[in-house]
Amino acid sequence: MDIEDSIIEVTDSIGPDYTDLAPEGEAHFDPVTIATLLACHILYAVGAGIKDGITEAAKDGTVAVLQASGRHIRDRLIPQRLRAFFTSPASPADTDAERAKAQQEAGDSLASAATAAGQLDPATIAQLAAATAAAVAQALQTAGLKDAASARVAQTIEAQVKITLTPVP
Amino acid sequence: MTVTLADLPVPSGQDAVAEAGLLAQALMAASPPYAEARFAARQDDPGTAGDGVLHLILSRDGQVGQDFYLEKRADGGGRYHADVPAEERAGAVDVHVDVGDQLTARLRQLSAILAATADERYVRPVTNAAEAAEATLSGAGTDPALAAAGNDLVQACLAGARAGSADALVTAARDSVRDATQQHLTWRMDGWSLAAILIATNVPIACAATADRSALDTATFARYLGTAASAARSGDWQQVGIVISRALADGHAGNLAVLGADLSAEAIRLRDEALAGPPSPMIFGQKLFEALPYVLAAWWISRWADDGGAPPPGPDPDTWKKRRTDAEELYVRMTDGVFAQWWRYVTGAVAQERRDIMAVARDKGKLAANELLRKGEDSYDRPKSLRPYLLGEHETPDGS
Repeated sequence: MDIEDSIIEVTDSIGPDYTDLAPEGEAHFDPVTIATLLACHILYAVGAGIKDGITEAAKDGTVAVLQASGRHIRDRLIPQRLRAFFTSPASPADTDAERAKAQQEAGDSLASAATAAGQLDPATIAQLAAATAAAVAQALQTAGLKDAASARVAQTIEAQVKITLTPVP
Repeated sequence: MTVTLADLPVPSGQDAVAEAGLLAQALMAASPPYAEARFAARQDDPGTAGDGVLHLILSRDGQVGQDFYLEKRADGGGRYHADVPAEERAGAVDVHVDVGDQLTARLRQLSAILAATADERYVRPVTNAAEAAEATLSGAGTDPALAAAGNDLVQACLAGARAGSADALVTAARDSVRDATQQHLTWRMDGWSLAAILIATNVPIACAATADRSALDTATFARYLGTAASAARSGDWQQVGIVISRALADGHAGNLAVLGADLSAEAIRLRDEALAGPPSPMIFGQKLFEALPYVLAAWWISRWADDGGAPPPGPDPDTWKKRRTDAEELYVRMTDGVFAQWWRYVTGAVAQERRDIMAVARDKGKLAANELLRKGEDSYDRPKSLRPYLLGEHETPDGS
């Protein structure tokens, strides 16, 4: 998995509609950076949510992994958290540092999810990818992203999760 | 160094045809006075480094017509403000701008060149745009094309009322939108005026719809349409806002919420077609040009509703203020996007961008290059189909 490719895929799927996620008043932000930071955070939430869902299901046999992962993902994509990205850092240097940190966290998070997923069979990975995509779409729609853009992001996330969780032969 | 219009010789032949089309579209996208003012302000920008507030004072023929504030940020971004707090006003740098008619004058020059050399099908629309721009730049700044459309609508209202027919009124309203759209596409009517016609006809339909949307209340429809048509006869698009104000006062905020969402969705659909379309600046700009009246109308509804304290259009986070901000973001960037098609063409911007993006891809990697690609796409400067050219994978923009 190449985290840069994943970030590019997610930012392209949001396209220019990221402003749907902005606060209701006039927001000041650097449009290019904001889309990258949002994409990194979505990928971070996906990785962390899958890992926590798998861990929770392993500890408590009554918990279904798909639902638990979905819940953990939605908890990380609450509207207030997404809106907070629309306050630009003070300087270009801060922007670079924030972007690098977000990219690292997204990569680490997806790698942890891949480890937690272990040797899941392809059918389970497919179900988990679909459940993850649905959770992301639901969270983004709740935060204000319109239907068409949410559907594009969901499609991209589903593909990225399959790529991330499928063991390399 | 800032490139000025004086640095750019007026072309001939096919270059003149191409530039004339792009410039005509840029002028008529929102309104010629708006395009002239934004261009003049940019050309006169003193280029102050770092952050600060500029107070732009726009004059035409020695008369101050408009003033506003431009907040410049350290990252190179900027923000328009109608007004700023007193402490910022005190520290703002005054910039006097003579708006004039730089773009319209250049279009006239191009039109004359085309008249001598090009086919009538290229000459007529460009002449339309030059005439329409001159008409709105003179006098009170009103649009004769909008006034004529309003007059036609008033006559249709009277005829429909005499016949007592809701169907006749609905037909008149739809004909009015069709005719105005045709005038917009042939550069005889600007984007704001078409937005006014969209408001004048669609607000009455939205307010007169019965609860199940299967029919129209004739009396309500005729009353609203008459109000809007009379306002449109002034030729001042802002006057047509009275029909929104009246609809809100009569408790139709819910109907306007649905209408505003529909208008906005159509604008976004056309914008997405532009971004996914071919690399031609004319085709890309035309899609944005077609989208603009819809988002201007949507913005207008949200502005009136927000200022009037109307009930929220939907569940959180769907508020009038949010819709207003979103629509404003969209229409400013779309207007700049249509304008950019002309300016980028005459300054050869895409070739320089290609060099920059290829260098960044080589030195900083694909994520940094992707950010530059998105920067141009998110500001509606260019479609995604230019990516292979900008990344150096194709030798020409159209891949030939």
